[in-house]
Amino acid sequence: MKRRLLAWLNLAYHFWKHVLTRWWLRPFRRGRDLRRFRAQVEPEGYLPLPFADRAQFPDFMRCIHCGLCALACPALRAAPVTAWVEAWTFVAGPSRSLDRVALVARAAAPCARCAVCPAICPTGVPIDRLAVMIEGLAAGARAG
Amino acid sequence: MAGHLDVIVIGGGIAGVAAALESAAAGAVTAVVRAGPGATALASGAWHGPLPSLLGEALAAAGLPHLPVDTLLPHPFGDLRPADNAPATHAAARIDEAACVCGIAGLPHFPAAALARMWRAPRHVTLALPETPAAGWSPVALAAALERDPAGLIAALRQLGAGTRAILPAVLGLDPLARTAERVAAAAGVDVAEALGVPPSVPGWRLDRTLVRVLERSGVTLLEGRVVDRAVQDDVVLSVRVAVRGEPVLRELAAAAFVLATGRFVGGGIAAADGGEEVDVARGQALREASLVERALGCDVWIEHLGDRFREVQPVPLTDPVRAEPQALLRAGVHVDAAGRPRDVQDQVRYRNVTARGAVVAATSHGLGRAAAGAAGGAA
Repeated sequence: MKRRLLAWLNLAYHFWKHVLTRWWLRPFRRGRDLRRFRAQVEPEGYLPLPFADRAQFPDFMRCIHCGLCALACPALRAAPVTAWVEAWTFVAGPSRSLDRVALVARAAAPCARCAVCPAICPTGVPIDRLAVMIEGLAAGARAG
Repeated sequence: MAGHLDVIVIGGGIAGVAAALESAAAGAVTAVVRAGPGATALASGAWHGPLPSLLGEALAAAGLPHLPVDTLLPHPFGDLRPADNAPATHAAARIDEAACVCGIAGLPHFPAAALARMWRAPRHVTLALPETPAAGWSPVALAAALERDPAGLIAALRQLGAGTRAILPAVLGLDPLARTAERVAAAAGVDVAEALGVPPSVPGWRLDRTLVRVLERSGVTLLEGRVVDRAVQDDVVLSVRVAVRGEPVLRELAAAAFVLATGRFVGGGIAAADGGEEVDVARGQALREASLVERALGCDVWIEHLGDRFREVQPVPLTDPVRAEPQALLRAGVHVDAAGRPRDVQDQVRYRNVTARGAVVAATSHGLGRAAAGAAGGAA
């Protein structure tokens, strides 16, 4: 009977502690919760995508792997670089894993944003917007 | 822009350039409207069917001579493919006792040992170049690097010994005018040949760049842009409105005759419709809107296996799940009469001064990765 009473008291204490602290402190602690969430998922290679970025993915998925963007790229012609610099390898691949984003962002450093590749894409993939997004994701991955 | 034009060719792939050359040779003032590289730039290097003589001469003069092929050409998928013509570096890729399949360390999708077995080549070797990037080569980066400085490849090829024919992947330079293959062969003392290409296809890119050069040399006006609208009177196209790249205002171009050579799906000539529905009032039922549209001039798209029904109330299968079977979708296009003029749903000539050429024409079986002779038929 005594242990039962102690258990109830313990439960009541934690309930009220939650109501009085966590609940109303919640708006002030949102950043910390997000950090905890990211710390859980990022080692797995998942990145949180803003809605605006996610909405662009159907456009990126129009890629047919023809590689014309790579053939037209002036930066690629000027300097030998790794295969990952080419936009289409990123578009075509499993494009959201964390290691890949960092790899592409590092390799895509010579990209001069000359906008030749989106103009030449036969299916109209907005490759310049993809480059901006990759950079943002890589920066976010480093910060987080 | 010159005010007067006799012929406007819409599309700047093989078919369009061949038509423009014929038209210019006949003395017509000709312009080509070209949206960008299309399926031609994805070609493997093998040419199927006869090479129109005007085009063949022009390609040779512009630095990419095509030679007749009397052997099967090695393809990086592992098979040997027939071809009628090919650029010199590909036409030389005969597999016999002298052939040595040369992979390049760090370049994926060209496994020398496996390809030598499948092509039945007696020797294979994997060449190591200095300064291989950590994540490996892409064909484009490697072709650009070899065009700039082939010394590493030359040193590696010297080890093979004289009398060897090195069968390399298609990475010997991006620009045919750089003559990378000739330079490498002369310096290394071995015969050098290239296998066919797969996208991103360096041979296709060379062909596409050369076609642009051919137009520049032949006095044909080249406009980078897309036809977005047209003016028609009594089944005659009077003019087209072109969105030229980089210009905010549409250009209106009038001509006496037009050639439609916009290609099929990759070229952008045939596209999926938005999916609107129209209603047949007389029969009181919804009529399915044609699922495919021809974008430049709005011709009706004909699907071969519908035959004379042309447009079907019920949805019809456009593909066969058995890949080897003929696929109706890949043979869809503009239906033409004997003179190459597009026909409409009622089988009447749609435009009297338009000729359709190349892959935009229904039931031409060439497509992605195949430079072909659809260019040869019809007259501008």
